[in-house]
Amino acid sequence: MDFTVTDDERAVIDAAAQVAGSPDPWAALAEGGWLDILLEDGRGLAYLGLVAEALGGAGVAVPLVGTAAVWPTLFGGSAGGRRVGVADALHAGAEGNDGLLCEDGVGADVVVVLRDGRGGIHETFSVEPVGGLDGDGLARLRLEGPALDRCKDPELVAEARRRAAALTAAEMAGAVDRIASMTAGYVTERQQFGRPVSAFQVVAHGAARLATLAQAATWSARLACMSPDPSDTAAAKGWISQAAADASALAHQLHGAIGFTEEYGLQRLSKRLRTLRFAWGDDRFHYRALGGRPLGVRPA
Amino acid sequence: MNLTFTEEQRALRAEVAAFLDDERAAGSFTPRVDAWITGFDRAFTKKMAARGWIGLTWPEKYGGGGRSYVDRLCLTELLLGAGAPLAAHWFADRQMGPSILAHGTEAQKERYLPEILAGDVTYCIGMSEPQAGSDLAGVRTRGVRDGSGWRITGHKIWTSLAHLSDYIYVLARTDPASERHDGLSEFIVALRSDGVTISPIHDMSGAHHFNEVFLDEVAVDADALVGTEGGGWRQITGQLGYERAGLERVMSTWALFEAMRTAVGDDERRREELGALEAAARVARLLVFRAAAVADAGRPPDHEAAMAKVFATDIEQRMVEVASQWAGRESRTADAFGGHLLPAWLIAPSFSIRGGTNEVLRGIIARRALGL
Repeated sequence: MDFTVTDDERAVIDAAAQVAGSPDPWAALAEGGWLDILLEDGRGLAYLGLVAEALGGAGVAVPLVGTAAVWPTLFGGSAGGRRVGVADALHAGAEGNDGLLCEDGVGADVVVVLRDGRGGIHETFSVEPVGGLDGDGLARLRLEGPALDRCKDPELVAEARRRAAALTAAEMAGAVDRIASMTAGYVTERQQFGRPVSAFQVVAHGAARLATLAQAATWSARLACMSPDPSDTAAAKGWISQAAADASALAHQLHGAIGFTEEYGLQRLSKRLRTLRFAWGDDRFHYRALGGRPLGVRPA
Repeated sequence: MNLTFTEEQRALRAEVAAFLDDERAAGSFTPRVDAWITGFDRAFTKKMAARGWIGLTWPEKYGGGGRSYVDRLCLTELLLGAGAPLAAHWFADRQMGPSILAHGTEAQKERYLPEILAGDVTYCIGMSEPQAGSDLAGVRTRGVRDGSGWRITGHKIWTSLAHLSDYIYVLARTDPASERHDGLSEFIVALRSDGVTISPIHDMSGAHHFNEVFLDEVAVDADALVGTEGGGWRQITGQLGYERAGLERVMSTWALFEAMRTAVGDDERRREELGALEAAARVARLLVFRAAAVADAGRPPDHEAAMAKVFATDIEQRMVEVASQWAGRESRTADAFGGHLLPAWLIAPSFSIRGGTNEVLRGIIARRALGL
């Protein structure tokens, strides 16, 4: 086990920060080759996780998961720069009489439907946005034709779901880390009662709790993006989904009124965390998966 | 970054697992909660020593295994998970040996380390005093020069295993004019010395592991002082990182957790609650491994250790609460969850206190990680 960032990883982190900060992050992702990295590098998912952290920290919402993880995992090729939305019938409430719920369906060029151990490609469809928060691409999907092509390997479908959850966890970890550092900065600057509010122990300890959540989120998401074991992903996505709610609430409390204004950056991140908490399996979904299997300390 | 185990680490884990299977088959120990602090079994400790599993991280030059702190976690994770009795060597292996290695003279290393490695001696930790708990720099125990040696007088408290130990590692003030963090020194004091009185404190379970240790003009030779005279505080902050960032902070109640896994059945709500604990325990474990990796990089973990402990002990306490909810009225019986629930509940308040309270640890995180 090695927790130090290598030169390669440092280069990825730096490049990801540029992508996340660019005026058109989607174009920058494509230009940087990040959307196809899974096909080209054995450590692709770990690198993509670092990219997702940067996007999460910047509050940038792009269809990374479907395009860079689900598509290449199922079909072994590149989505060719198209924006991929994914509808997964596995999740409760995903499939209703009026269509499937589709992640990143808003603005999707092509959608993948995961159902019954298969993944089908659809190019003719319509979407109705249903997400209530900025940047949430959730849409009600109506298919207007049969699948053009299908992946029929249930193991690949399971692996696509696992990678999607791992990357989503990484994006959330980036956002949690960012709100923790924003909060630590804010409490040292904000003066009340003639001193920085961080001089009050209860405030400093709140910031310490937030910093701890951020570290825990970061490392568990990184493990999920490195380990082939699905239980590492379930632990990361489940735990981070729950912790994100605690972290948001704590960050808002420590910021006071400014934190819930439109002009201040915290609101964008707390909205994004709420959206991602309920994407690719929420805490309860992953907890049930973990709790239903024999796990724990073992030689491997 | 590589957050998975190396081949060498997997091999060590397989070796430990096989050993534990044999020991369980032979009935050599009964799994119990908190066995690293209450499971005192000299014979088991001798078996650890024979396999080179005491002093795994110590340099080979001094008889250690020359391996990493992460490797040591690979070993201790399985031992703690099995509820094996580790108390007879735990403090010396975790903390005192490393302290002697870091700060001791060659003569001290030659004198003290071999008997620890052989599993022949037990150390206890003489830090807290009645007036110096979280505020450890307030210790009043004095070390006064006497010829070439020292005389030590003071009153230590909450000293786990003192009644079963050979040595106590004492923090004392050696410069009477000093205040707070200055002028403190560390000593190794043989508990069979004249002037040492040990009296028991029973915890709320009725068990006796705590003690008070009274030192009355206890004479020690010059060689008993470890490290720099007056430099004890700096030495201690390093040791506390090792004390805090072990897997015992998340696995003290593992015997209970295993019993919960057996009891989960097909109940959806229980599965979800068990999964929540499993997920959080895995995250906690990763924070502990991270702190060990910091130690492997050559720096005693401070805020990393504090984060790991404060996070992990919260999960241990939640495990006890969830198990209590599952058991309902049966929680009141001695049999609940294989007999592990009541013992776990009785020690649960200590998790977030011993080795540094949550309040102290959050202060460390705020100062050291955030600069607040």
